[in-house]
Amino acid sequence: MVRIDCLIFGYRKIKIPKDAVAKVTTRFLHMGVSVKISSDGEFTVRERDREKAHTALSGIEYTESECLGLLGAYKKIKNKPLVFSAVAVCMLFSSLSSCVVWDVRIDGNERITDAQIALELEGAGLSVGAPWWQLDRSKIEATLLRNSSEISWVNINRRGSVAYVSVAEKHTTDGDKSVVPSGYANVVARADCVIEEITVKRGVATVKQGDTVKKGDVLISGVLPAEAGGGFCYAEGCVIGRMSDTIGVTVERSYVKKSEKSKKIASVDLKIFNFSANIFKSYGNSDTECDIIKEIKTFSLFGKALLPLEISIDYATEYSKEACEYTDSEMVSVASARLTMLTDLALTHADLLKIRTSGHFTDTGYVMSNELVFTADVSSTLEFASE
Amino acid sequence: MTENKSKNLSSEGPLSPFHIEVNRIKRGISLVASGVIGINDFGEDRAVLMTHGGRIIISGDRLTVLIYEHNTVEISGKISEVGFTYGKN
Repeated sequence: MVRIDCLIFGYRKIKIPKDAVAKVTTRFLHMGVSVKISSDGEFTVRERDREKAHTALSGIEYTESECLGLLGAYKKIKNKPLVFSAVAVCMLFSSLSSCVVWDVRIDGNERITDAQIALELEGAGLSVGAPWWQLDRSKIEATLLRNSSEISWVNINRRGSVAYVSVAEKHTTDGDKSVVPSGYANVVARADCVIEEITVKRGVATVKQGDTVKKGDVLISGVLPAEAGGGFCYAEGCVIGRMSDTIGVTVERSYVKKSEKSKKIASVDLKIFNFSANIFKSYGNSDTECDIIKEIKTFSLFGKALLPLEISIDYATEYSKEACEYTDSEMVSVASARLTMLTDLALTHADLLKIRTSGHFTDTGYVMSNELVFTADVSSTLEFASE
Repeated sequence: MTENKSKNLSSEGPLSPFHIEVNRIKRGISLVASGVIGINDFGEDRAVLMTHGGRIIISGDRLTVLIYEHNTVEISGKISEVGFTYGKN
């Protein structure tokens, strides 16, 4: 194994006869040269110890390799200007490319989107392609905190050419006096339901668990009773109600099928950092209908760092239309897929208790429906004036 | 009642320039000897190190010699036997 300093500063491999190993090692020992000699007589000498090694090997037959390691590679390519310049250009490019921001990664945000923070950062001067030497991170952090009302803390770190932005959002806790809304309001039901659970933050509950309420009924009143001192308040709370709903879909047997006729490249745009250039564009109108499909190709370095290079290709895809008919099984599968999607959407903020699915064929198609029983937050705030 | 006291090497005066240290390594055993003034014999299965006090005879297999500064020599490989002789002859 070759030592790391030998690899960097260059070394030579020397081979001597086996019977001369003892003599040579003794000479090296006396000269204080550090070498590792195997029993077959082969050893490596650092380039800086080469002269001493020659002295130690005087009178002994030996073979010596040319300079190896990084220094050897440099000596080899030094006399080849093309290779040397290519290596130099590569090194220059890599050093220059590390001088700009290649990617901005944001974490710690929940309510504010990445895009909003990225926009704020861009306004403060931090964006992909911005040179690192022009960025004052503490100044950007201060600007971001000053401009954004929803961020309470921000920290920008640099790892390689990637900026890691950590943010902490401002919390609107219950105990925070500043978030108490002004005015007066009742909490009303936004759907017909049976009350399952009621939690009052402010105001007086007018219903209890098990009560049946209709849409618009007052659940938590903002009018305080005389025992509580009277007056009005902004009622707040969480009311969970049990309700039922029916979601149905109808799939017609006949439908229009679009089939792709041709796909042509309409335009190609190249984007480097924030500079965009059109490198191809086709002209002329098509007599048939067509869709424009945009395909954006991005490039990354070893699948990690995103390069500031984008190729955007617009395809003009021409379609022809033809009338088709579903078979019975196709209609059922299409209806099932659509109904699943609608059900998932309806239950986004609800807990499902019971579901019943039914379907039947009609003269023109297939009708499928889901009868759902679920619990969800049914509270809705309705403000009122005190007069 | 006897008192057990650990030996303090610094109180014993300067250490002898002749010093051997043996360690287990990945490919066998490493023997580091200081105060070596010459290597009389070296081969794949035998090495003879000369010191002022005598000789160190190392037998084994696939032996490698590594020379450091200040008369320090390391012999590594599958060392099977280490012998000492008194005197330079």
